[in-house]
Amino acid sequence: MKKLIRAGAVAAASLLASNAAALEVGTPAPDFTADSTQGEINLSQILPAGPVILAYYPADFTPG
Amino acid sequence: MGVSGDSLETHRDFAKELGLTFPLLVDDGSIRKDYGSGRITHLIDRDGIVRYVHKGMPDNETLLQEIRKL
Repeated sequence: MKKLIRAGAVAAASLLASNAAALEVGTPAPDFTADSTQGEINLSQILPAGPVILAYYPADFTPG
Repeated sequence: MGVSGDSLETHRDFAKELGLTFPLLVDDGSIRKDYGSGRITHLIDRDGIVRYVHKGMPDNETLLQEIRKL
């Protein structure tokens, strides 16, 4: 039983850790400026042109 | 837009190879701090509000539905 509780606590902790950085739907998207293949991009500057899809991925030239 | 921790040089090669028309952003660490890293997609409306978040491989069908709602 103790083991089960400990396993549950670990699972909960890792779940919280993986969610820590996730933004909630309905909340403001933090602004950022970054270098890109099409020059420097500032989020708040490009938003008036339309919605933005920000797709984070692990690395270039990797499968999937 | 795509974003990862890759260098601009690697991004340029990758975008050229795939013929990407959208930009690839170089994250110096500040974007992943706010948005998370790995595979995670955010849809941000023109008012700067997060409208959809998806972890893992993008679900294009759902993403398109969410975009149509905006």
